[in-house]
Amino acid sequence: MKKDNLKSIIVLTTICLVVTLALSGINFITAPIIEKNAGAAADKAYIEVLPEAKGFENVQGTFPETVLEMKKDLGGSGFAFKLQASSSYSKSPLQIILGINNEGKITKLVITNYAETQGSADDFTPLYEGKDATFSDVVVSGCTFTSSAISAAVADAFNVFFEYADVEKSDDAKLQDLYSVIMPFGTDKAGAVTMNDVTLPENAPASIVSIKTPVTGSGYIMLAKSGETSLAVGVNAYGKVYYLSDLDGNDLISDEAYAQVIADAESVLPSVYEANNDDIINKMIDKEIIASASAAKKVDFAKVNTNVIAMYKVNGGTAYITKADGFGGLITVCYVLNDKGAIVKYATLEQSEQENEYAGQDYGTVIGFKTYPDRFSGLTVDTVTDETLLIAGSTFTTNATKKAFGDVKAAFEAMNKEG
Amino acid sequence: MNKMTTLLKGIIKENPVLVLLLGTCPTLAVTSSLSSAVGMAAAAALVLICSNLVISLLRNIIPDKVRIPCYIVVIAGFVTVVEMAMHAFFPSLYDALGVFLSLIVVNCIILGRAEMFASKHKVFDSILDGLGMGIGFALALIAMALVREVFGAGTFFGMEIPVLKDFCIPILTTAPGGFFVFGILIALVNAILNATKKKPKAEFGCEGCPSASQCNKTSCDKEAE
Repeated sequence: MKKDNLKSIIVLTTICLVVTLALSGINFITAPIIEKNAGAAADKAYIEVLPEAKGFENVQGTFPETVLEMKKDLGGSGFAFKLQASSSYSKSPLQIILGINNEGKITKLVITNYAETQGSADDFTPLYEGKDATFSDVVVSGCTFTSSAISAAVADAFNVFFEYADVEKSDDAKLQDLYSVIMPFGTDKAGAVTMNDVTLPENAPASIVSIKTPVTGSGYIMLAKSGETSLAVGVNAYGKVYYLSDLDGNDLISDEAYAQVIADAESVLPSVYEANNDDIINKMIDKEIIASASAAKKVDFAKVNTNVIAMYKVNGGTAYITKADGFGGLITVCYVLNDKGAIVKYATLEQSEQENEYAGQDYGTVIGFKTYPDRFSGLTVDTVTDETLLIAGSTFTTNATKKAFGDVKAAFEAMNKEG
Repeated sequence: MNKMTTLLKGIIKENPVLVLLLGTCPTLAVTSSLSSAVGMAAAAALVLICSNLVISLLRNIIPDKVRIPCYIVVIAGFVTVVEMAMHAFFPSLYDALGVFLSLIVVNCIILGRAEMFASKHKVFDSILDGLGMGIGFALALIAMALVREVFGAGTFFGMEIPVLKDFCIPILTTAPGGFFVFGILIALVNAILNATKKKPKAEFGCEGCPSASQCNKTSCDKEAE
């Protein structure tokens, strides 16, 4: 009995040991192949955005919330990112795979789990291809919030790219980083500082490399060159330079060495004021702000940084004219303030807001009604509240009117400070 | 029993799936596509042949008391080898078969043939038995998968069949459809065997068991006592 038990134990143990040894040998051969296959499967998504990649390695670093992973192509063709973006309309965060080549341009953007109620993943992919860090205006019709969320994630990816990829940012990309410093008021309806390209005149001075203008058209941001130094220039609506720095943001406006650049920037284009003056005067007459053109005297605000595009001395005070990005496009408003900040008159000079065609409601078009200015009666720049400006059911129009009022208030305070 | 009989009996007369009704779980689980069915059949046949070979080699060494654990260790070893090889060299098939690849360890066909044939016969006969049963298992799986994929999904190895794609019977690719096809095939094989008078007598007890010719026991009840 004991002998039988011993034999059973020995035989079973021996069989187990032999099988274990055999499996160890097989594992030694197959484990590296399995690991390589697993890596290739995981990298399949990244290959789609960087097709010339030879393989990937992780880039270690501290990334913002939107950047989940950064991979470097071992063949040196660029970098791939796994991003997540979430808007208030998202059921769950969007997962995005993005490829950026060594020139800092997007190779491809793929959304892997698009489930928004409007649009599709394929709507976004072609919009980003070939764009660099200065991309803007990437909006799919009907998907404003989703577009903004994706743009923000891609912008974060570019920031990480320039931090970890050892690739020099272009001058345009560095200038873009300064937009919110130079023109913080140049925001679009989604609240992002957005610039549009302006065509350089044929006879532009050699020092002016490129010109941008905000959505509201209240001035210009220029990329200029003085010798080897690239410069960022801010020009206000009156065509006066109020900001000059290098592309790292170091202030140079008082440096005599750049006086010629300032002169070139102030002369390259007609000022926003000159371009809009006649139209504004006519609209002010139409809305009974002034009786005739001679009743409005230009107020020059020199180097003040504001979003207003014109100021006039009129009967009763100073008229401040500004634009903001509404639902249907830009709205142009005029506030007449006395020297104590009381709102003497208000007029909406131009608007193209829309009614709710399904519910038959007025919504944003309310700002064009004759009764709209009544809500400012007896108020000052300090007593106007969000309630005063609220238009029920019209988020974009309300935001635009708040933005416009904020710009006027900032201009009033800046003018009072300047004296 | 001659060698040819040993080889051929597993194909129709003692087909492990359609006559002996063994290995039903993988039969129903992986036969919704032909590629998975062929993969499973090849894996199971390889394990069956190899385990029969080793168990037959060790039949005089393994004590009766520990024969089942020893058989399981040997079978599990071969299944693991097949798994690792498939994972390395055929990863898409590995993903398609999923957990059913590991479940070959507890496939009744393999343990059943080890216990009933390999442990009592010489190496070459055991190999032939494993080969015959493996071929029979493969034929059953392929027949099931052919019906379920072609008529259920309108595809053949994943390639669309022009007319059938628009007029397929989707229920065949689901579990109820699988059972239905399985039942039809069992009935068909039984009808063929009855017509050729090759079907084992449908009696209860040891005489009626399809494996009676291999099993040395005279009664299953006696062993229980």
